[in-house]
Amino acid sequence: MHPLQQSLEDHYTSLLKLAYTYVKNREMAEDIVQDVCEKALEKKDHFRAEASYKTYLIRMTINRSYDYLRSWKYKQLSLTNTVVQLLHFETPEQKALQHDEEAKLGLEILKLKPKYREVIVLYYYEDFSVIEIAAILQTSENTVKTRLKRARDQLKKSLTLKGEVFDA
Amino acid sequence: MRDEVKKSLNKVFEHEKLNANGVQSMKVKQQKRFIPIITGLAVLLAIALIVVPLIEWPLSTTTTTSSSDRATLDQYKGEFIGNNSAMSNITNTILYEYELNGIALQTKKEPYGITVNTKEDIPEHMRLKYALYVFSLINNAGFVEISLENTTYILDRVTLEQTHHIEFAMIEGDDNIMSTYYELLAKSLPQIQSSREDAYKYLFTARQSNTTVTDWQTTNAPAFSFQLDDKQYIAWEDLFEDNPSYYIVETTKPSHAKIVSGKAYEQLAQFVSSDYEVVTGPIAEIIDNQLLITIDNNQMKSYLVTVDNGTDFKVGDTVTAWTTMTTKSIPAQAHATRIKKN
Repeated sequence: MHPLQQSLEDHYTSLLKLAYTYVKNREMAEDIVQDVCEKALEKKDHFRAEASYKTYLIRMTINRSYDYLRSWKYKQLSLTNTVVQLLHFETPEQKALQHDEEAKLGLEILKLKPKYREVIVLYYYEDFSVIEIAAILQTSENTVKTRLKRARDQLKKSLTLKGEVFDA
Repeated sequence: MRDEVKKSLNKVFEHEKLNANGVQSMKVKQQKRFIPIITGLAVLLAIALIVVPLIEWPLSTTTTTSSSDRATLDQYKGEFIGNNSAMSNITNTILYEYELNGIALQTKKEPYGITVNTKEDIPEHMRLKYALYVFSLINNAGFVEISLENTTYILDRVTLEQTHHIEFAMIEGDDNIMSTYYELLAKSLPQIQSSREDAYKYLFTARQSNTTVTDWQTTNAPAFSFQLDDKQYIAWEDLFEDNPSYYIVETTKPSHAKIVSGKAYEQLAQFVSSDYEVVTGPIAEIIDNQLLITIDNNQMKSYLVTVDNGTDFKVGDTVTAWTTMTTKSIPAQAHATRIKKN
């Protein structure tokens, strides 16, 4: 088995979760990761050795997620979700999630703007360092630090408003 | 906090059943599940058409501003520096990517102007863009000052007008401000030599791709500029694309296009990475591995060329140097890919 294929098997769920944090929709996240897998396998011989396979796949997933965020398909789905929320078509599972104390921080993270959300997810969930995140997002370390700080501030503010304790 | 984030996000993922069975499950094309979704969408869109005008939409979750966001700034054409709301909106729209401390308006004495206090460094091309919007929209803005701790950059209306032969009061509309911005930006970038016309032709594939690129994709520093058929172009490397690619902007018509991989990109990459002769002249000074090469004793036309071993040369040697790119400065700077004594 090619090492890239092995890496895909190892990190599939992790990529799926990452894509989900961008598009907030399981089917779309699956589509994104499927695209990434197909493209990665297709291009496996062109892989540049300066990054690990995991980092490479994460970058591809982020790129593809941004493509989806810009796409008509995503906007259409967002519209549908908004209408669904307005009409209170929430499933019992969704209602349960909204009231799950343990999920509150995660749900607030998903409400952040993508540029703040991604640094929180990469730093706190994926355990990347600031330097690694800067490399993945192709931005400066200072920008990553600034965004982390702003993201934490926003989380603190939104959770405090909801009466939650947040230790940033 | 790390454990809390992990636990909480895992809870959300668990609810969404994101613990899939790995790559195998992904290989099955998932077409059937879209059928009920499409049917549902049709019904919901019909409802949405009725409901949309009645609801207040949440702010966009994307991180971008678009040309339409910028176009709303047109309403401030002819405004004055004392209009706090106009100045705030211009600042927030153009510098949306950066963290700012606030603005201070100089309205008491001339020259009138605005000081933007920032928490992070704003790159040169974005300072220029911001100043062009302020000067073009605000009649009596004489200066733009951007300040980060002990570093202050000042852009002056009169100097920009005189240096570039432009009159800000005459620039109207977002398209024209952006054209002016791209024209001035192109002047400050390394120019690719115009003799390689065969390679330039591949850039036209960018036009055919007809891609519209949002503002945030061009907030990074541009890579280089080039001319083709009397038109000026600016190229940005697309840092978010896993395949190598460039955004290409025509300065006189601020529409974006993109080259993504394939033969055209390969040709462009080869063209960009191949070196060209940058300077021939005597070495005036050697500082470690940097050679100051002068042309006609003119400081403006001097090059500070970095070489691998400065001790191979002595002051007075006449050399020719090649590079892939020069940095605009006085003297201009370049890293020599090749150098020979004449």
